[in-house]
Amino acid sequence: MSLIEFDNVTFSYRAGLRPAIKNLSFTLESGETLALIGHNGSGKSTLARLCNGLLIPDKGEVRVDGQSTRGKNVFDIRRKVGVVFQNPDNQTVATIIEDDVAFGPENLGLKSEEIRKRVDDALESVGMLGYAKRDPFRLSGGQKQRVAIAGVLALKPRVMILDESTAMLDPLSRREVMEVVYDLVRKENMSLITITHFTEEALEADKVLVLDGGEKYMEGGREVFLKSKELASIGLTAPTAVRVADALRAKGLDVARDVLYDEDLVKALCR
Amino acid sequence: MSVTIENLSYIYDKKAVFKKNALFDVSLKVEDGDFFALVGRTGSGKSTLAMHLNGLIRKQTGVILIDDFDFDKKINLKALRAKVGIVFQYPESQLFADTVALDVGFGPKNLKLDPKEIDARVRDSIGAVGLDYDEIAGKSPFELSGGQMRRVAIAGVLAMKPEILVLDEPTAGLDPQGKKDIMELVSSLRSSLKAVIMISHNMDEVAKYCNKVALMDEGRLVGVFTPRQLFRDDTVERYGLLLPSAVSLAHKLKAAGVINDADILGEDELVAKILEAKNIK
Ligand SMILES: Nc1ncnc2c1ncn2[C@@H]1O[C@H](COP(=O)(O)OP(=O)(O)OP(=O)(O)O)[C@@H](O)[C@H]1O
Ligand SMILES: Nc1ncnc2c1ncn2[C@@H]1O[C@H](COP(=O)(O)OP(=O)(O)OP(=O)(O)O)[C@@H](O)[C@H]1O
Ligand SMILES: [Mg+2]
Ligand SMILES: [Mg+2]
Repeated sequence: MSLIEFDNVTFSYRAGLRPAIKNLSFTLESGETLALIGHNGSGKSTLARLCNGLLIPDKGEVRVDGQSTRGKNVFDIRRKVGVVFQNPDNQTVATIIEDDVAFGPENLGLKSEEIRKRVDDALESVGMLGYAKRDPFRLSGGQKQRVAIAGVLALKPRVMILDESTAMLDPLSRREVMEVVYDLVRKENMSLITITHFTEEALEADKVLVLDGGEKYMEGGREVFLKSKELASIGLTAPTAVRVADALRAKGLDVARDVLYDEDLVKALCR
Repeated sequence: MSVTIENLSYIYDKKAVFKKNALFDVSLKVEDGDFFALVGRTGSGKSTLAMHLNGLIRKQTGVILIDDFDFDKKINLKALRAKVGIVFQYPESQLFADTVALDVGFGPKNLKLDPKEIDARVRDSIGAVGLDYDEIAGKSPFELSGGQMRRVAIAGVLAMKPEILVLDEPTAGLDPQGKKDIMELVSSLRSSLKAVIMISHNMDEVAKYCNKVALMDEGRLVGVFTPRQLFRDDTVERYGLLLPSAVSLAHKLKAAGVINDADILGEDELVAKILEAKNIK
């Protein structure tokens, strides 16, 4: 049984509007990491909201751990699927950072020592423990995103969905935070859906799902990023090494076809 | 019309327990024609600095001079804001009107412009950010995707026709094509603007579009550089940043002996350098 299963899902925000998700099927297994990419408005955030039952399909079905999101167990689904939404300001609930991070675990009915531990661990791992007693609104943009991520880390859900949750971080913090996320995902055998416009970040995931206008455009392993033409035609871009390799080939230099990372290009050109 | 900042310091909540210098003794000058980047790790004070420029944060110590606005005196905020347009970090949280057209037209309407002029500006700026006026003008801003909201927010500031445009992470959350569109747009506006100040974590964009880069760290200004100076070696990594992706790739190729020097900024230059090393014209 897949952890998340989309079975021919179609969803429109209102009758008459073009569907934001159309005839979409895919599965996410336990322990798997998936990068979800696509142009602005392609349906990525809508897909995230369909995963945790915030939105219900018009047609088809979304199942989490075998349960349809249409059923009465939304609470159960929310504890399994933790989402960090795009704008952290909209998901802050408390006036002190540690209370904000504790909000999820408290709702799980955990013991207070366990909550304490989870909150501290989560804040520590995103580098915000020193800010625990502060006001979550009075932070820099990147600090707000770190707190939002801590909130979901503390929840330890089966699936973590990060909806562009590192967009405001400086490049090194982005790397660090994603490392923390992947470490936790592997340690706890969680699954991850990372929605991102950073190719470097998307390249970390086991699988890639590309949306275009609410429909599946491509799906596969990292080799999807070799298809620079297909990506460019829907406004996306291949990794730097792939683009440079393309440009070199266009000038007549013979470069191996499977260059994906910087290291691949270095190897290919050393030959 | 230049922007001069001298010895600017700022503390949030001066009386609070967690008092901290968000800015410490910052001095810099932005000149006409500059496409000026502000970079630095999360929390280094970039947004705090930007918010001073249109009076959103009231100066505590130091000097700010913009055109004939002297920040030591009481300034006419409305006049200042017509000159200095700021697109904030997460600008989508500031959208509020019932329709996209009303939102974008809000600023011009406040300037009491002629309705025809307002309409023209709204159409132009929605088009300029790559959105389809007919499709989107009547929609509620809250029914848009994150990236679409960002574009609407930028359009709202462009509709004010500012002379100095300040952009706080303008392309965060935009798809690659959208990033490129916005950067090309801003770049094309340079001739009609006096100066552009852009806060960014995207070093590829800074390298490609900006002529000066101010590097901030913990509220202090480390220095002002040209992109070529700043990205010459891995100094930036000490400040939470990474080299532009082409430069970082060039360093790896140099280390492996594929090319002789990594003195490039963009992909085109890198490709040319590799071809040269491989004797291909
Ligand atoms: N609350 C809403 N009401 C009506 N339409 C909406 C709503 N939210 C999103 N849409 C529309 O649904 C489509 C998909 O939006 P979605 O937010 O899922 O895109 P996205 O892939 O997350 O984009 P981005 O990269 O810009 O965040 C878009 O056309 C958008 O305008
Ligand atoms: N409203 C506020 N009240 C109190 N402190 C604040 C407030 N806003 C920011 N700060 C603090 O001031 C410092 C500088 O924040 P600022 O927002 O200027 O950083 P930044 O460089 O823009 O960071 P980012 O890249 O994350 O957006 C940070 O330590 C932050 O926690
Ligand atoms: Mg989205
Ligand atoms: Mg900021």
